[in-house]
Amino acid sequence: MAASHSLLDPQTLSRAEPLGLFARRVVEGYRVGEHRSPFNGFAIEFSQHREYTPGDDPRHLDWKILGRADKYYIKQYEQDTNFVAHLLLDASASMAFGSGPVTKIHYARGLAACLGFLILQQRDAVTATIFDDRPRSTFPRTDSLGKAQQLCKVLTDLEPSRPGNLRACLQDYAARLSARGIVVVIGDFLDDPADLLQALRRLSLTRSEVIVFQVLDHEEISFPLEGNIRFIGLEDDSRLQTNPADLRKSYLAAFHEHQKAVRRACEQCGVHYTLCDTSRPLAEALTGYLAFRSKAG
Amino acid sequence: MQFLAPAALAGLAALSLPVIIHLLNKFRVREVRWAAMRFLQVAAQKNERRVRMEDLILLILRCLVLALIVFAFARPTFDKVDRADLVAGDPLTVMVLLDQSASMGASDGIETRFAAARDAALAFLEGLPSGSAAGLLLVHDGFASPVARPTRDLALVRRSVELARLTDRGTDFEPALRAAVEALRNLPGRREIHLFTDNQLVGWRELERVRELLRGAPEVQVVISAPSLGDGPVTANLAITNLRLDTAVPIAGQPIRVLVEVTNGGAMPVGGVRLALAVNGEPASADAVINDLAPGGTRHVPLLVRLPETGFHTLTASLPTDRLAFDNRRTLAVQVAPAREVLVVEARRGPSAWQGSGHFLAAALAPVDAEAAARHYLNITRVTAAELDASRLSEYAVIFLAGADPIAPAQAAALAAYVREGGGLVVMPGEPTPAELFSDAPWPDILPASLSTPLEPARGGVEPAPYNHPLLTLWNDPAAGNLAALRFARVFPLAPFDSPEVQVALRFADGSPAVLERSVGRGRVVLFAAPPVPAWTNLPLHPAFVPLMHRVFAASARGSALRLNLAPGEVFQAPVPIEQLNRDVFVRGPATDARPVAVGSVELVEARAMLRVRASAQAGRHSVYVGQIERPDFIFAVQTPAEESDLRIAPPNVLVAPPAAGAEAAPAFVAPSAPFLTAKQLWMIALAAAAFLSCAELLLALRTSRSR
Repeated sequence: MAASHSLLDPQTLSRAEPLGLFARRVVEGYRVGEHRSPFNGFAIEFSQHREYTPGDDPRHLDWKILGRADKYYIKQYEQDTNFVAHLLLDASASMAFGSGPVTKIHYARGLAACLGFLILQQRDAVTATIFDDRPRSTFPRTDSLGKAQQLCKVLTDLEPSRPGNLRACLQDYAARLSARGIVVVIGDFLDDPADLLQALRRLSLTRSEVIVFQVLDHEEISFPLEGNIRFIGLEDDSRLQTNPADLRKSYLAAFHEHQKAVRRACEQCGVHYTLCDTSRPLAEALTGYLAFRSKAG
Repeated sequence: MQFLAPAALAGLAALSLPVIIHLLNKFRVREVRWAAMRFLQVAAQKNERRVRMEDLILLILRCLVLALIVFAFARPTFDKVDRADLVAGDPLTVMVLLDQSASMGASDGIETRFAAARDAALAFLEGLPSGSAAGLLLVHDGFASPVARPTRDLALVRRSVELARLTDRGTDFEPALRAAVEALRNLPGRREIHLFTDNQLVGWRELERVRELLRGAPEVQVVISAPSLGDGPVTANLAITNLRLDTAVPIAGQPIRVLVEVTNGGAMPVGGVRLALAVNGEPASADAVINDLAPGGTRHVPLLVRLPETGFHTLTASLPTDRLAFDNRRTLAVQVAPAREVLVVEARRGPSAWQGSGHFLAAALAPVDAEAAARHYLNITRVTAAELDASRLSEYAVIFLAGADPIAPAQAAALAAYVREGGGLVVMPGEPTPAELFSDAPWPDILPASLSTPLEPARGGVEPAPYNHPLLTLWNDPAAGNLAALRFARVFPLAPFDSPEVQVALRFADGSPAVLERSVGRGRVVLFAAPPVPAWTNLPLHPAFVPLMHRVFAASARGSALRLNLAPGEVFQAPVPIEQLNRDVFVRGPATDARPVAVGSVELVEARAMLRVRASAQAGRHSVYVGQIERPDFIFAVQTPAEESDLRIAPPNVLVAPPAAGAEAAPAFVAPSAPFLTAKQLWMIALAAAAFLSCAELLLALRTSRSR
C-alpha cells in the first residue's frame, strides 16, 4: 500500500493539476462533462437543422418550420460530455532496468498514477491495463476519485519479469475499444519500431487520441559505461562481454536511429510523443507535456 | 651480435606483463543487466573484427616496447668483444691516471702528446657505462689527486681532466699506480686503472715494484692508453741535459766558467746549432755552435760569462726550439756572495809570514798582492792554535787547520759546534799534530777518518782521472791540466769511517784515501792526508793548488747549503733575519708576464726564521720576495730532470712480467676497452625505437577510443 501511495507524488500532482488534461479532440462520453460530445442530440445548445430521414425520432422534428414551410427538419443540439482515458502500461522485463534508484517501471507507474489521478479529479473516467506479452491486470473504468488508490494498487501489483509483446497487446486492446477516448501508452519502446508503427496505426483506427510516453534510463540514452562489462539481456538470456568504450559510438548511432524511427512512427499516426528520462524529475516531464497540450488546444 | 649485459635479457620475462594485464582485464568483468541489448549487439557485430584487430596491434606494440627496453639494457653490440676484457658491461670503477710530465709536451707539430692523452681520457670518461665511478690522478714524478677516490660524478672528473695542465716535472708511474691501487682496493665490482701517457721508458724505473704491487692486487687491471700521436721517434730532439758552474766560487765581475751539457735525443745527427747563454734574462752574453753531434751523443760545452754584482743571478742556456720544447732551455741560479771571512790556523816557525805552515794556503786562497787583497772576496786571517778565539768562530765561512799546533779540547769542542751549525772545517794535519790527538773527542764525531802515525807512502802520486767527486771534476777536462805531477813525501794514513756521510774525494795511487769529506750537522769537514807545506807534498807548488783550495772553500763554506737549483715540486728554503718573521712571501714565476703571488709567510723553524717555498711545476727562474715586491730577496731555479728528455717508449705490455718457468703469465695489462661507444650507440637506437613505438601506441589507443 505504501508503494501505491508513493506513486502519487504530491509535488507532481500540485504542479500538473492546474493544467488539467483537456481532450484534444472531441471525445465520446457517457455523461455531461467538460468535453464536447460528438453526439448532437438532445441537449440544451442548438447546433443545426438537417432534413428528416425515415427512422428519425419524430420528437426531434422542428414543428415551427413544418408549420411555416411544410418541410420536415430535425433539430440537432451540441452537448458537453466526459471522456475515458485508457492507461496502457508496459511492464515487460526491460522496464525493470534502472541505473539509479529509480527504475523505468517505477517511473512509468508514477506517471500513470499521476495521469489517472488528474483525470479522475476532473470527473473523467479512467481505465488502466498493465501488460507485457499479454494483458496481465486491468483496472476497470471508473470516474470516482475515491478509486484512485485502487488504481495505484493495480499499477504496483505487477513486477516486470516477462518479455514484452507491444504490438500484439496494443492491437488486441484496440480491437476491444468500444468508444473513442484518450489512449495513453507508457513504455520504453525498445522493440522494433515497425511493430510500434503497426500497433499505433491500429489504435488510430479507433479514432481515439493516442499519447505515447517513452520512459528511458539515462544510461540507455548516453551509454556512459566504462570498463570491462558483461551485459545480460533483461528480456532474454543474451550475453555480451565488451568494453563499452569500444562500442559507444556505434551503440549511440544505433540508438538514435531507433529513436528517430519511434518518433517517425508517432508522427505518422498523429500521436503525441514524449520522451521521459528517468534521471529527470517526473513532474518536469508531466507538466512539460500538459503545458504543450494546453498550447496546442 | 652479442650482449655486454646478457643478464638483463632476463627482463624479457616482462613481456608477459601486457598479456597478463590483458587477461586480467578479461577476467575482471562487471555484470550489468541491460535492457537495450539490441543496439549493443548491432554495435558489437559492426565493430567486433576491428576491435579485435586494434587490441591485437596494441598488445603487440606494448610487447615490442618492453622488448626494446630490455634489449637496450642488455647493451647489444655488433663488435666482437672479449668477455674476459669486458665483463658483462657492468658499471666500472676506474682510476684515470693522466700523465702531465714534461715529456708529454712532445709535439708532432699539431698537438702535444698531452693534448692527445687528455682528449683520449675525456673520450674514455664519456663512454663509460652508466653507473660507473671514476677518480683522477695526475701523474709526474709524484702525483696530484684532483679526484682521489672514485666518484659517480663523472662531470667533475671530466672537468678536472679539462683543467689539467702540462708540467715540467719528471716521470715516475709507481707512486701514482700505488695510490690508484689503494683507492680501488676494497671497492666492489670491476676495477680498472687507465693510464693515459706517452709510456716513457724512464717512468718505469720502479718497474719491478709496480709489478709486485699489481701481483698483490689481481682484481685491479691496468690499461695503458698511449695516444697514437708521436709514437714514432722524435726526429729532432736536441736537449740541454745539464747546466752547472765550472768555477768554484763565482766572483762578481770575474769570468765564470759554465758547463752546458747538450744531448742529441733525436734520431738524426745534429750540426750547426747555436747554443746561447744569457744572464738574468738579458740578451745572450755567450754562445757557441754545436757541430756534428750524433744521435744519442752528449757534448759538454764550456762558456764564459761575467756576473755584474754580488747577489742572486740566473744563467739561462737555450737552444733553438724543436718538437720537445721544455729541454731546449735550462736555467741555473747562482749566488755571488760578498767578501767572506776565512780563518787559517797554522803553526809558525818564525816571525815572518812565510814561516807559517799556512802561508801557501793563504796565498792560494787570496792570490793577489796586498793592495788588491783588501778588495778580494776572501779575507784571510791567519792565527796560531793558541790565538784561536773559540767565541768568534761563527764569523768565518771556513776554518782551515793547516798543520796547526795541537788544538785544546775546549777549542776542539767549539770547532765541532761550529761545524754542526753549518760551518766548514778543512783539516790538514801536520808535523806538530800527533795522530793520537785526533782519536780524542770530539774529533771522531766530526772527522771522516781516523788518523795513524805519518809515514812515507810507497807511491807518492794520486789516482789518475776521471774523478767523480765535485771537488775534482775540473780535472776531468784535459784543458784544465791534471794531477799526475802531484807527489806526497809523507802522509797520515787515513782509515775512513763506515758512514754514508763520508765520501772519498781523492785517492793515492795505491788506493788509500788522500782527501775525504764528511757532512756533520749542517756543516762539512774536509780532511787531507798531508799539510799544505812543501816538506810533505808538492801540492802547494802545483798549478792545481789554487783552484783546488777555492773548490774546497766553495764546497764547505757556511751558507753554501742554500739550494738554489731545485727539481719541480721540491721546497726552496732559506734562513732570513728574525725580524722578517711572519712577513708575507711572494714568488714570481718564470713566465714573462708573471706577477708576484703570495705563497705564505716566514715561519719559525728550530728557533730560526725560515722561508719555505714549494717550487712550482714550471721550470725556470723564480724570484722570492719577503715583505715587499720591489726587489727579490732570493732567486732560485727549477730544472726539469734531465732524463725527461729521453723519449724512448716502453713496450705496451711493459707490466707483463716475464713468466716464470712452468708458470702462466698473469695478464695485468689489458687492451683499452674500445667497444663502449659501439655498445652505447646500439643502446640508444633501441631506446629511440622504444620511444617511437610508445608514441605510436599512444596515438593508436587515442584514435581507436575515439573511433569506436
